[in-house]
Amino acid sequence: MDEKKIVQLCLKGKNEAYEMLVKKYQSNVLSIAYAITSNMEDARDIAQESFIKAYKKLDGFSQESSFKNWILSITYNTGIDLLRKRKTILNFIKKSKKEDMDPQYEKYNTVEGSEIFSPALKKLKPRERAALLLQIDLNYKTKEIGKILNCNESTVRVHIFNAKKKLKKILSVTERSIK
Amino acid sequence: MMCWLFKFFYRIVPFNFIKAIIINKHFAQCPNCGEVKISDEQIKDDLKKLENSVKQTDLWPGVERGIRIRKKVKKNRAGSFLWRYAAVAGLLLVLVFSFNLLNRKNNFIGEKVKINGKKSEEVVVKFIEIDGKEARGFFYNSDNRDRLIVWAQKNKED
Repeated sequence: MDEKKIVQLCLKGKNEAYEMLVKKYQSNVLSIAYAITSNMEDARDIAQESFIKAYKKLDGFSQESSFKNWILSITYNTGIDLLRKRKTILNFIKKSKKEDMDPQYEKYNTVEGSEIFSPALKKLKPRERAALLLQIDLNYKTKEIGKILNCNESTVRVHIFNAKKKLKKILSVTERSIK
Repeated sequence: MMCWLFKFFYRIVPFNFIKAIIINKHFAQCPNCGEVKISDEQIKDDLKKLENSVKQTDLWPGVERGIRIRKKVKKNRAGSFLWRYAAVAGLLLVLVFSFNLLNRKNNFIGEKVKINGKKSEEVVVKFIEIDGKEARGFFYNSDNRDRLIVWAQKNKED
């Protein structure tokens, strides 16, 4: 079925139509959420929250643009918001000198608790990982990535270049240490 | 080669659009600098792993639950707002009604007034008007049983 028709059905309150959209794009949304957080539990929460947000804002969605790009953009923003909130909480805890009391807070650094990404990929910034994933895995062009990440093409190019440069550096250091 | 100069510029320049130009004009074309970055193939392994693990996840049950809860909350909120509006409207109605009632009493409109306590003789004043505007009326029973004094007074706001 045509995506526009599915969106129109959703606007009429048909949940089955929205289920189709969720099932179609859930893997892409989950991948980008994971690229930002590096934690599957958080990624699942972000992905679900993004789909719920999208459902709520569906009447404001311009049907000339693609639903996929729109939902990926919502996911990226939701993920970044979550990281920002956690950073604020962490800073607050560190300021209160309570970080030693509960080691559980350390997991909010987001790079912990993941086995999918290699340590090298985990060392990148969330924005860099998201840009890499969109370009390499989802085959997006720089312009489209810019729209999703809410930045211009030059910034996307710089993110991708920096990410690849960092990865090369980390991997060559690892290879050298193995030898 | 001049590669070190480009690397130096890339590091110190604060603007992304200039960095992007350096990437396009030099790093993307220079055979020496090409080795600086990792190839896409080397990252694809990690991304493939991610792709396989996200394929097993079904988000719909959680999304559906979330949508249902939000709809319920919205409905409840709308209901409580309706109740508040109804309560305020009711209160306003009571206020307007009682104010009207009090005002009418002051003006003696349509009220029956007994003259010297005699039931048989009653005066009904329907409306009092001074200079075309509604006025207040007062009744005084005088010593003379056959006489009733009606005092008409302009409303203060007029």
